[in-house]
Amino acid sequence: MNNQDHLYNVNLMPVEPILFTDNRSARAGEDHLIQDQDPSPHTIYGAIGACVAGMFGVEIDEKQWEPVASKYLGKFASNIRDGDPARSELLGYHYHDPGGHAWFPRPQHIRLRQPGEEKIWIAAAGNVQKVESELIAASLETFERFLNYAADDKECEIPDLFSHDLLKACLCGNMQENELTPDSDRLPLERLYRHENRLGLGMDYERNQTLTGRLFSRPYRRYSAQIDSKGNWSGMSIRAYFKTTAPLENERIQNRRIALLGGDRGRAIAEFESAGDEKPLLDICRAVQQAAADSDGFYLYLLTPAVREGDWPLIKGAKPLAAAIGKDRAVSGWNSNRQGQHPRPIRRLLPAGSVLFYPWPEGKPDPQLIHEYWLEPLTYKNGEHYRNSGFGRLLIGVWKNEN
Amino acid sequence: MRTDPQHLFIRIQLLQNANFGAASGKVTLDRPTQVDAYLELPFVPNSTLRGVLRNQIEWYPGAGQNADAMFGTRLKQPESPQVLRENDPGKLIVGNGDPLAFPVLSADGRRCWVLPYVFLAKFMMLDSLCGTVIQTPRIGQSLRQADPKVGRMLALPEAPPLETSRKIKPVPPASLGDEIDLLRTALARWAGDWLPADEPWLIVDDRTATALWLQAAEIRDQTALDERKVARDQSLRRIETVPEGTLFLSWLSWLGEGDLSLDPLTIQLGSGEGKGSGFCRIAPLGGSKAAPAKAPQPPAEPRPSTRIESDSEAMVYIYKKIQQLQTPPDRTFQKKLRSAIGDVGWRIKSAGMETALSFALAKAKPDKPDPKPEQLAYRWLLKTLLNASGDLSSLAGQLFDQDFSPEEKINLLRRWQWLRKYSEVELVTANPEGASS
Repeated sequence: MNNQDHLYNVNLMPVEPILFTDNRSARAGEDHLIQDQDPSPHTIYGAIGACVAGMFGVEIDEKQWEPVASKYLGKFASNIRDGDPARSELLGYHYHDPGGHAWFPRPQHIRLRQPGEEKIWIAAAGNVQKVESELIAASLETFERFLNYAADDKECEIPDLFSHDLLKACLCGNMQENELTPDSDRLPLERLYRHENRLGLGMDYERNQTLTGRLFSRPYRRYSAQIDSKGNWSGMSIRAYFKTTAPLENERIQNRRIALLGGDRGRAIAEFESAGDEKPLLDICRAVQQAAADSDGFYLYLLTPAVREGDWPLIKGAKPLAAAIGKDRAVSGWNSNRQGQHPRPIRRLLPAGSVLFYPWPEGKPDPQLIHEYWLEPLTYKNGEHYRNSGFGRLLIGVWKNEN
Repeated sequence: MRTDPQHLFIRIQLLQNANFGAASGKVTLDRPTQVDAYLELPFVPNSTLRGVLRNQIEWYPGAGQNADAMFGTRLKQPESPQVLRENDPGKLIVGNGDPLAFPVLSADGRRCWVLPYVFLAKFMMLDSLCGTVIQTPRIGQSLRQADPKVGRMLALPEAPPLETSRKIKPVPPASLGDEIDLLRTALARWAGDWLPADEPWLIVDDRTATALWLQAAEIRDQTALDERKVARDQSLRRIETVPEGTLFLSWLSWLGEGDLSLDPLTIQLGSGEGKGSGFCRIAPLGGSKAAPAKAPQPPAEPRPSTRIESDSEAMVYIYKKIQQLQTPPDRTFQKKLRSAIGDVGWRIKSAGMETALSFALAKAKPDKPDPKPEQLAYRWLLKTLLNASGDLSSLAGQLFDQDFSPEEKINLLRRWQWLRKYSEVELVTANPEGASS
């Protein structure tokens, strides 16, 4: 039976090191100094879309798109900025380990402390302390004014990921200072991947000589892999939630396929699974809805990075009261349309894990709002930009005023 | 371009030690080889493999092979900017060469082969994408029981004493049932007859593989010598090499039409080509052994026979020709010859074989009674390329207006390629320091 709502869990498991860059030619003199970074949502979206198109023998090619690929993915669009609900959507993604555990970016208002060599503790969970009238100024007040947080000299800024249960507790506003156990509560980043810098040389093959000044280093990302409990090879994977415009036949999705990710066309094994008719991560959503009753407001948690577009986003007409956001980063991407391949413009993103705090509309907790915005894209006054590619997909948390 | 690629493995075996330069360093090594960020085991970077394969196929395309189709088009040279066009991606995706087996000496002096199980399991998983399903979960679970202090090893047929500080507990084959046979089947398919069946194969967990690799890696010291064969100051280098015999598997995905055509080859990977490092043989799985080297054919008619010479034959033939120039070496002649070899190569690439050889014939001036060193160089070059005896007079006036057959071109290109390689190492370019011209 096909998934009538055409929502799929897609697992992308890299089988070789992947090169994720922002396409900038960062030259120091003649050398390339390419920086490594997390994949852009559009990279994931494009890889899955290409897999779906490939199921029907269609390449990423505007001339080949109609009528087959467009039935399942919507019309071909080069401009990823303009959202279109009539096209396929990436609803979000996170990491998955070989044991089947999900891992998420740390919510940025959760601060960590490392008092000794190994142990990591939650130092503070920022709560909005004083709810004042809606800000008039375009920029937010400083972090410390609104969030109950005192600087700690043992605070550490580690990029560890949070487990499913830990994220649930954060979103429910139930954080307490406690120790985070590695591989249970938090995943050290190096358990997810390690950098593998690789040298490259420009060559003149006619003369079998290197080209002057063409030495460069590329930071590949090798995702960890292991022999799992069943004795099989298994690696870290990206778990994505992808919505097509028509159901995919079971015989199309039952076989594993190859997805191409990043530079050098790194390969990942793509597995599709029907996801039912409910929104993904719904167990977390329901827990947050139950916790909403005695909360003072809600916050947006960026599951995926969001494109910054000027003013802060409105929710039910309200601007955010406070925010904890990571350092923005640049991403590019690659337009792989066979009619003319080229890099995409660089965009600056709010990183995944960023949070924005809002009051409840009319001062009353609204559990329905939580479900309404669950895995929706972050929107701005001007419309639903970047809807389809998976930028700015939200989870909702609740916050409580301790005063 | 097809959307359901053909997947296949190629096996790569080092015929000489190799070093694949690493961007990261080690305190005790000047030039470490590239290793996996987690397991610290060596691998062949896919970029290295792709570049060398491309070069090989550009110069010696086999039946059904086209370098641009396989690896993508290049932008045209700056001197012809009017024909610049966008790159088309190649249809061949080349993966890293992951280690299948590497040699290590046992405490009693026997050579053993270490096979890291994590890669065997990965190869099984990749094979399953092509419909070849072999699963050995009990072996995987047994080896998974290794911990930081005690390793696990499945030895085929028996485990020799090893010189390692890591404790290793053997996995009893009897506990694994028919999975031993399944594993042997898989190994036979992957390794072919490139791994000696009469030497122990040791299938180990990750940490044990890393510990044994530290023992297997060969560290070589190199120093540069000047023209008088005296060591140059501060030129001593410690270089980590992957030992000869190490076997890798690279997983390829072919997006072109039909089946990928890839012949067994002898190529050079990594650094130190001029010193003989990194030569290896590669072959797709299921292919025959690399063609055995045969004795060079005796000098024939000016036009080469249409039998395609193997790469090994060409290498030996050219090596002997070059060695004949060293007793005693004529430096002026060798300088001219080096220049001629480079010039002919560039013309072959830009204008084609016939034009390049026509130009060389013109430079050779075979009828001139008192030839200069440059003319002698071109004469020698033509005779060597064409495997010709005599004084080339029979070619005088000819303009090579009859195209060479594809087989002849392959032979010519192979010889030229080896001439270029050996000329860089064997032919001098300058007089010794202190010597007069």
